[in-house]
Amino acid sequence: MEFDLTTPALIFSMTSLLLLAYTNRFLALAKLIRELHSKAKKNGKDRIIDSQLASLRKRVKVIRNMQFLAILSLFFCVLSMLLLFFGSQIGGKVFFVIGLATLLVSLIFSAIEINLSVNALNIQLSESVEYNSTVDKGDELEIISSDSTIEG
Amino acid sequence: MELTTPSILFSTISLLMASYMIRFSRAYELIDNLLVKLNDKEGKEQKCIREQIDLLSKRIIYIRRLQYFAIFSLIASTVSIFLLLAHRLVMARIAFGLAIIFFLCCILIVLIEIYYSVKAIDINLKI
Repeated sequence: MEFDLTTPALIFSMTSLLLLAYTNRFLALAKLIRELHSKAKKNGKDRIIDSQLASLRKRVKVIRNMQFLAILSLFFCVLSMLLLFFGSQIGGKVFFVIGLATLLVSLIFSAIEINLSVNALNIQLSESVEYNSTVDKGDELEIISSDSTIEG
Repeated sequence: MELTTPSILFSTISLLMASYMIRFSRAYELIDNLLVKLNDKEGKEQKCIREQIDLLSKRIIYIRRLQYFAIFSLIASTVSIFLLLAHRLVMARIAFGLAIIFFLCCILIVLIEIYYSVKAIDINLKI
């Protein structure tokens, strides 16, 4: 199998596109957190918003790790290209493999984050069903309608 | 090293710059909003808002530096292609090596910026 200067470049396009996707996810989530936080401050202590905020914070940490690992893998691939450029085949191969491994872990984190977001969505749905049933009973629970917090 | 070797950096640098433009404009927007809020609140909240603004300004400085490195790297790759066309192999290799080194610095700054990006949200949630 040939391992020359352009082999690590195979990973480049995927890593950059992944980073773009992660950035969008992160920005959307960060915006959500800030809005929810200001809403929570306006309306006082609320169990639902607190739990949503907690899960959003967890997700944002996972996304940060995802981005970090994707960039780390890009870093290792470029380092491997540099080493190949200076003639060290073994060094190039080692760092390329490390780069691939970190990319794999980043993708695993991405799967975890998707899982978390689907769970959050399910909690959202179950709570809005609960809201509808308590309104029918005539209770005056003040649950804030959180349509805006469902992430697309 | 062939004529198309330096072009492998092109796509990835452009995508990196695109995602960083989005982050940059978002950080700017946040600073504007926070500056408006700064005048309304006082005391502990004001301190937190100031901390966030400092952090966001630091991030913007990093994103700027990152963009400089990315552009230098693109320039070096393009120069390397020109040198290859002019059959100066040694200079072309040096230029490509420079391009890779600039790109490495760019990625290092990205790593630092990612670390700071979550810190601002944490400070916000402390209010």
